[in-house]
This record gives sequence, structure tokens and C-alpha cells, in this order.
Amino acid sequence: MKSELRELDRLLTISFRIAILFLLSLALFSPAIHAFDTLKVEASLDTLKKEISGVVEYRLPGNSGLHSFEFQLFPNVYSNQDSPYLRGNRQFLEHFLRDKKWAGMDIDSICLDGINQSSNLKIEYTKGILEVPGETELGGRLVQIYFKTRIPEFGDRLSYFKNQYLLDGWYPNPAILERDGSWYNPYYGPYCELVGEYYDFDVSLTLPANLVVAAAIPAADTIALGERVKYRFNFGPAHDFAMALSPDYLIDSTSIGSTILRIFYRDYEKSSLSAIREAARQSCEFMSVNVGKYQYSYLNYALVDFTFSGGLELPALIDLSSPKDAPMISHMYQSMIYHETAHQWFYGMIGSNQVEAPWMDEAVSNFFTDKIQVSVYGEKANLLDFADFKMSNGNLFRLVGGLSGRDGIINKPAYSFATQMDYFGLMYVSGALVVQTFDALLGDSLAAEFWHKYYERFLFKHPKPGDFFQLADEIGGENSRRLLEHLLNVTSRVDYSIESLNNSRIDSTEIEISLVLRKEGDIYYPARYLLVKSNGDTMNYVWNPEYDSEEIVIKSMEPVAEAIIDPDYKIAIDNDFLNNSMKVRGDGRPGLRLSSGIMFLIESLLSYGGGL
Amino acid sequence: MRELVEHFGRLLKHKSLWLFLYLFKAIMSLFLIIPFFLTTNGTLSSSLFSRGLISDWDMSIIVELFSGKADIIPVYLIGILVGAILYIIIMQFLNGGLYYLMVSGEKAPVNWGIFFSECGINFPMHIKISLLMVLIYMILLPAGMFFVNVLGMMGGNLVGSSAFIMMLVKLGVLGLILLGASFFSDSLRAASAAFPDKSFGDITRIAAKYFRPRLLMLLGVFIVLFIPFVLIWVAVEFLAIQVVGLLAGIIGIALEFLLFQFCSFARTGQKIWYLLYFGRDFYNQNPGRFQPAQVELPLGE
Repeated sequence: MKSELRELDRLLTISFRIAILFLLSLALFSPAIHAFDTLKVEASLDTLKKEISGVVEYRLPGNSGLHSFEFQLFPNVYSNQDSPYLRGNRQFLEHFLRDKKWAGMDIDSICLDGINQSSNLKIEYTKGILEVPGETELGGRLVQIYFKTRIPEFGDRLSYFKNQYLLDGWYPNPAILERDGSWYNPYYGPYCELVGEYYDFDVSLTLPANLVVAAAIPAADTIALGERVKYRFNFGPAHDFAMALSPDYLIDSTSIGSTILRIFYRDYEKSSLSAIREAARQSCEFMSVNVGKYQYSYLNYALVDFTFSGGLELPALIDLSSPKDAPMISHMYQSMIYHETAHQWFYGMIGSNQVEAPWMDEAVSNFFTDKIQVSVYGEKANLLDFADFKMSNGNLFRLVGGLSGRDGIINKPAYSFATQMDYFGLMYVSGALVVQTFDALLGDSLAAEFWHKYYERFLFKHPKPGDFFQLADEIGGENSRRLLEHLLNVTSRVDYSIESLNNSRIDSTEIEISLVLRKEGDIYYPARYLLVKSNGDTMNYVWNPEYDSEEIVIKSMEPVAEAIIDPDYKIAIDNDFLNNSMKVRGDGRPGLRLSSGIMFLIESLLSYGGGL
Repeated sequence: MRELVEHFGRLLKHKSLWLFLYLFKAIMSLFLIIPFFLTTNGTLSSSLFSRGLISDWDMSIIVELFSGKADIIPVYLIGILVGAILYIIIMQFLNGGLYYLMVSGEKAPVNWGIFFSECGINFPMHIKISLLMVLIYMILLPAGMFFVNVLGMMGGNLVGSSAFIMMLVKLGVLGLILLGASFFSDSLRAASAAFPDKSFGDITRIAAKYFRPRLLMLLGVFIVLFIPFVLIWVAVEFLAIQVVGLLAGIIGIALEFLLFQFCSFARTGQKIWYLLYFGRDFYNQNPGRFQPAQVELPLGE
């Protein structure tokens, strides 16, 4: 009996241990819970030399079979005239060529488990590669990189202007270890932005005491060291840790639900605070409801003096060019805030790769920019409503898209774009219209499911285009995936149109209605079309385009008055909405009115030019 | 002020001149707009998407039209530019007769024979004046912009509505600088009408002598005369929106067209009104060939 009880006790103990192990393994390997490594940075800013120097410390993933490791030296994009990054931005390059004040990052030494390995370090442009001869397993080793970054005066994400600093990519950032054990170290060519792995950041930074720090979170510790102050920040998981520094910053702090919103501004920018606060709240709430929860405690906006006009997304920190001298009669500034805030999801928390697939950042964020703008200001005048002149963000998309040329492959690396117009036209406009088309064709409920699932699945991960297509297939079916793949991988040029519409009387009671539907672009997505009869009745049909055009013949008692394909304009990427419909009897009124208005404009021009 | 009202009376007497000059501008504009109408009407008339234009300046339709015809826009713009240059050249021809009428103070009805002969005689001089003015505007425009930008820097770091007001002030100052130049152009043209036998250099000296002390006065008069036109323009824009909104159809469009043309007509009238005042003032200082001949009276016995 005793032995049976002992056996039972032993079995219970084993079962209990197994249960505990099972629960532990669930906790450790559940997709919702991640364990992030710590990236420790200790640095100090020298405002006289405009240099920031220090050490980065992190541990390489254990048991990974690594025989080398790589890291990024982003500041080297400003190092010489051959920089592919600068060659994509003539304005910057010309400045550097004129001033000859090149910037970059120097590696003083690199240690593995405390042993100096600098002699084995190879640096190629922005790539740092360390291979230790004879070492076959570097996994689990402690890496220490001692660096010095020379900050450029005229840069974009890393720069100083008078006594203000914008610090992004300022420390050696580890490359990304791929699933197959290889390193992904981005190639920073034209139009590229920073890409990095998710870490929990532990940053100690010593700065002059007069500088106010705009960072992703407030400092956890502050130690005064005479005229300097040492700040310690703990932030993560994030793939970057950036800051804006200025002695003139004032901080406006409010909250959006459980998130604390901080705006770093200068005194003269005070009057724009309420607009920024409101736009931040609108966008943060919209994205939280329609995509997923904002994961950080703070959302920060810093007004900075850029060398360009616009915004810059960084994890939990958004840099906005100062609204100084901006009349703000349009909602353009708000639109920029919406766009950069949307990036907190599509770049920040969902770490898609802007270098290899920029559409996953820019096109998706711009699509959400438009959605937020429509939800706040309505469809028609969400960008400008001034002196009865109304313009929407959608109008701007289509205008820029039309003028820049919408054709081309969207799903390609940022560095493969030849011109700025190509990049902006295809990424911000055509890309956003493709995403809008995909979203509209999914329909409200499936689209909501798609974005929520995309967020849940790829939170703090690095989705690739294939992952996006795969999810499109799961939610919207094969047609959705094929549409998306085609529009992004082959061409975004699509034009559905009605080429002709006729009534022919067969006898006293019956009429033959014939219409020719046409489609340009190689997509084969079913499109709805409807016929409006002369008595006002409507007939709904779906065209499944097997070929480029098709003649449809319908017999009816009533003649047709109008026909329209894609009547809800869901195929937003359609090149021309004017040819989507046709009337049997033309109507000259729109043309007359437009010509009358333009004639008045010409008369005014002649009056001022000619004196009368 | 009374004098300005009197000149308005003179303007009403010059109805035919006012009408012809307006018609000339309207016909030129019509010629420039016909190709646009012909190329776009086919697209707009058959589409349901364009329907919104009947009652509203719907940007989505205009954007659709222009983005789809991106390659034609430069052609239209070049066409309008060429048309505008042609108009300006023809205006230099007409300026000869116009400034003759204004400075001589000839009463209505206009003797068209004399008018056109003055046009022909003074045409080369008016072309020379225009070329000089192009040069002056080319210098004044960047100089004026530099000045208003300095003004902007003095204004400090403005944001929002204050920046908007500052922008309007800058535009206003730039406008005044260019307006000042246009008064000099008027002075040159008036001098050429009063002194047709003088050289270009002499005319420039006479115009400068007249223009310098009167700049502020002319500016004041122009602004006073410009205000009624601005009021008409604002009223026309407001009424046009109301009319097409209420009568969304061909009647609304026709009424809007008439309102626009009324505004264009008023602008021509405003400039002639100003020139009538200006011409009289110039004559009082520089009668030139229009000075009445001295008549020798017989001495009393």
C-alpha cells in the first residue's frame, strides 16, 4: 500500500513537473510573447567637435552557429561623394561637395568577450563585418563596439543645425539575423531609411545640461555632472532609438487614453500646439481602433528645423518640420502628422523593411493617412476648404499620380528607384491607391479583419511582401492575393472603361442594348457594372474580364440611358474615372461650365498682363 | 473725390470705347478657350463622373481631367501664353489711340479715324516702352521679393493665422511695388501721346519728372478706384456660386457666365476710369501738343 502511495506520489510529482514545464514552454514560445535582447549604448555628445562617441554592447544569439557577425554604420552615408545615399539626393550631395565637411562613423575598437578583434574588422560603406579566423561559433558572445560619430551639419536624419541636433542612426546598429542564419545588412542607397532588429534599449547618454532631450521616453535616471547631465533611457522593444535635442524645447504633455502625448516645441510654435495635439489624438485613436493598440507608453512629436519640409518617423518619436511661416489654411500639416503617426504602426511596431519593400511602409501609411483624413474632415474637402475651393487628399493623390506617371513596379527596393519623382509617385501615390483598391475590394469587415490580423501576426516582427500576400489570400481568397501581387509586382496601370453604349429597337416592345466594356492592364478582377434605364430602373451585373474587352448585349423593354462600370469607384488605382461611365445622350453642361470658368481666368490674366 | 466722380461720368460717355476694349479681351479669351472646350467636351459630356461640375467646382473632376491629359496641359499653357503675348502686342497698338484720347481729353464719341491713326503712329514707341517695362519688372520682381522676405524675417517666427496675415501683407507690398512701376509705364505712354516728336530719352525724362512727385497720389487714386471693382469681383464670385448651386443647369451656367463677363467688363471700366483721371492730371502738367494754340487778339483802338 505504502509503495503504491509512493508510486502515486512519484507519478503526481512527475505530472506536476511536466505541467509546469509545459506552461513554461508555452510562456516562452507563445507567439504573443517575445523575449528581446538588450542593446546597451553608453555615449557622450561633444557639442564643440559635433561628435558623439561611446560604446555599444550586446550579446549575439546563442547556439546560432555563427562564424561572423555584421553591424551597420549608417553615418557613413555622409562620408564621401561616392555615397549611393547622397547620390540619390543631389541637394545634400551638392552641399557636401561645396563645404567638404564629410561626416561618418569611426570604429575605435571592437571586442568579443572583452578581446579586441579590431584587426579582423572589415568596413564596406555602411556595413561592418567581423569574421574571427578559426572561430566557428560566435553565438552567445558579448560584442562591444567603441565608436565615434561625426555629425553632419547638413543631413536628414542625422544632423545638427546651430545648437539643435537630430540623432538617428548615430550608434553602430546590429544587422538583422535572418531565419536561415545569414545576416541582413541593408544597402543604404537613394531614398533608403534605417532598418534594424528589435531590441530593448538601455541607453546612457551624457549631454550638455542646457539641451532638452526629445526621445521615445523620458529618462529613467538623470545624474548631474557639473555642466553636463547623464541620462539613462530604457525603451523597447524597438528597432531604433533616436533623439532630437534643443536648448529651446518646451514640453507640452497631455494624454490619449493610456498613452502620454508629448510635444517638444519652441515658444514661437506655441500657437500650433492645439492643431498638433488634435491631429495626434485623431490619428492615434484611429489607428488603435482600426489596426491595433499603440504599444508604447509615450508618443512624442518634436518640431525641428529640417533641411527639408516634412516629417520623419522614428519609434515613438515623430520629428516634424517646424510650422514656422506656415499659414496653415489647409490641412496639409495635419496630413503630415497623420502620415507619420500611421508609420508608428507600419514601420514602428510592424517592422517591415523600408529598404527592400518601401511600399509596406510608405504606401500602407499613406493609405491610412487618407483614411484618417476622410474620417476627420469628410470625403470632399479633407485637405483644403478655403474660399469655397475644396480639395481632398484623394484628389492630390490622383493629380500627383497622373502627372508623375503611375506605371511601374511598386514592389521593389527603395534604392532601385532612379528619380525622386518615380519614388514618390509610385510609393506614396500609386502604392497607396493599390492598397486602397485592395482594401475597398475586400469590403469593410474583411478589410478590418485583415489589418487586425496583420498587426497581431507581425507585431514587433519583420513581415515581407510574401507574408502580406499570404495573409491577403487567407482573408480575401486567391483573387485578392492575385490582384495585389499583380498590381505590386507587374504594373499598377489599370483602366476599366465603357467604350460604347447603344439602344437598337428590335420590334415595338423590345430593345437591344449593347455596350462594350474595356480593361487596360493585365488584371483579371471581376468588376461590377450597372445600367440605368430611361425610366430610372437599374440593372446590376458583374463583368469577369477574360479578355481586354467584351461586347455585352441585353434585351430590354426600356432603352438604357447610362452605364457605369465600378460605380462605387472601388478600384481606386483605375487610371481614369471619367471613362468609367457613358450616357446615351451627351451632356455639354459640365464642359461649358468649366470652359466658362477658365475663360474668366484667362480674361483676368489678360487684364493684368495687358492693362485692361 | 468729386473729381473722380466727374471722371466716372466721362467714363459713361465713353461707352463705345469701354465696350470695344472689353469685347476685344473677351474675344481673345474665347479664341484661347475654344481648343480647350473642343478637346475636353467629348470626355466630359459622355461621362457621369463629370456631372458634379454643373453645380460645384468639384476638384475631383478637374483633377481627373487634367491628370488624364497630363501631356496636353503644357500645350494649353503654351497656347494661353502665346495668346497673352499676342494680346499684349495688340494692346501696344491700341495704347497709341487710347493714351491719345486720355491725355487730349477728347470728348466722346470717339473719332475712330484719329484713334487708329494715333495707334499706328505711336505703335513703335509703345513697343519700346513695353520692352523697357519688361526690364523694369524683371528687376523689381526679385528685388521686391527680397524686400518682402526681409520684412518676413523682421516679422519673426509666425505660425498659423499670423503667418497668413503676414503672407497677405507681403503680397500686398509686392503688389504695391509692381503697381508703382505700372504708373511709370502709364506716365511714359502719356508722355509719348503728348510729345510724339520727342525722342525716347526725352519722353523718359518727362515721364520720370511727372511720376516722381505723384507716386503716392496715383497709388491712392488707383486704390480708391480699384475698391469698387474688388467689391464687384467678390459679389460676382459669391453670386456665381449661389446661382449654379440653386439653378444647377444650363440657366445657372449661363447666369454664371454673364456674371463673370460683367466682372471682366467692370475691370476694363475701372482701368479706363483711372486712365481718364490720370490723363487729365498729366495734361494739366504736360499739355504738350494738346496745349490750345495762342490766339492773337486784335489790340483795341
